[in-house]
Amino acid sequence: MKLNEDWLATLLAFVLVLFALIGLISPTWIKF
Amino acid sequence: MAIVERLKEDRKTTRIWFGFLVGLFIVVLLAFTARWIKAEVYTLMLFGLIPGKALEYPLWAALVGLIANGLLKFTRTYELVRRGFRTELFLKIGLVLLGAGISFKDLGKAGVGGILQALIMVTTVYFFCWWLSGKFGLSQTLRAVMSTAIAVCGVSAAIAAAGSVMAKKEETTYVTTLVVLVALPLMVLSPFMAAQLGLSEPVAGAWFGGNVDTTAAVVGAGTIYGETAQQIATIVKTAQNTLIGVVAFLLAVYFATKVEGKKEKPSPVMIWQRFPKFVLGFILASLLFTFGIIPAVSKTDPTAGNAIAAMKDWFFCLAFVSMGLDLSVGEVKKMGWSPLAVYLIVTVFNTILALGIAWLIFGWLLPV
Repeated sequence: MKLNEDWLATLLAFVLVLFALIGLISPTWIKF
Repeated sequence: MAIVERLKEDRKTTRIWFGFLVGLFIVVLLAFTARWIKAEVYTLMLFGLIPGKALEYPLWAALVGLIANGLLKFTRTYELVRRGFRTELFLKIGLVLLGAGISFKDLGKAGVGGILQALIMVTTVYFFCWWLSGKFGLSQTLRAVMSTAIAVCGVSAAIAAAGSVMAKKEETTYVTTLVVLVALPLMVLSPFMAAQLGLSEPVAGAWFGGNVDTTAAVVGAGTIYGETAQQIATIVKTAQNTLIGVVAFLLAVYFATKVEGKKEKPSPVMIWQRFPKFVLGFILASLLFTFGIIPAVSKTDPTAGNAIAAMKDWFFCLAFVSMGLDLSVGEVKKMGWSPLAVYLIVTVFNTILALGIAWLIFGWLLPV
């Protein structure tokens, strides 16, 4: 299956969600 | 000879990657700038009239993007770095992250209204634009690309329709330029008008989802108006986005059989091929949130939910900056003024119709 932009965006978003869930991305320093 | 060719190829690849990384760096830097401006003006009263807190980050992000766009073109460095301006990618990542904060129940509720609104809006606006552009004597392919862009979801719809009807490259570029050119002011004006009309957040969000052409600007308008407006605007626009596959397929069938007179019809597989797959990520993220795997945002004790919500804002900010960077006004002059007139008339029609439909569905029929 070709990795188009839609799948890439979904994959990257879930990697970021995972990082947030395991505490690799802290809510304090990512604060917008 | 082969070595020389290979060296040339390597140099080209290095140049592409260098341009991409520098472009990406510029976008990130501008996003930080937009965030800084937002924080600086928050407590101010601008021109003695506008409270700074009413001016949310999408406005500043698009503005710094536009300024940088002018500077890069002036210094002739735009083409080198433009590969880093990935509006659609940033936006889609932000949208999936947004899904991680919406319960499936709310998604379902707003989704039904969104699909209903999308069906009415897409068919009415599409055929109105098709009819009007015919009266103005536009080419069949430009009519198809423009009608799809206004009726469905802006830039990505224009590109999908162009593929279905074999439109000329300049027609696609022209329509995508118009989409961004009109969407940018609408992103700022729509929330202002909604406030003047006293619209509730769900109705305003549904209106933005229906009347602003490109998804980035829809999210921007919703963000300016409020959190619920952002969610509803996104759900409504996403419902509209999902129809792109169907529209692209029907267009391909129409052009192949009626316009080009071919006997073989395009395959319905196209509906899936054109389906915006990030919507599946959005739904999955919403399910994870609903089942408590992703925690909710907490004001007192920041959780992973807070980190995800913040990342969503960062990615939206990157998308708004890229939208400002993407704009190219020169394309409009090349094509002449009659397609612009059609586009503007249909946009007014779209805006009024979307207001009525959003009020009917989200204010009365299926209130959220």
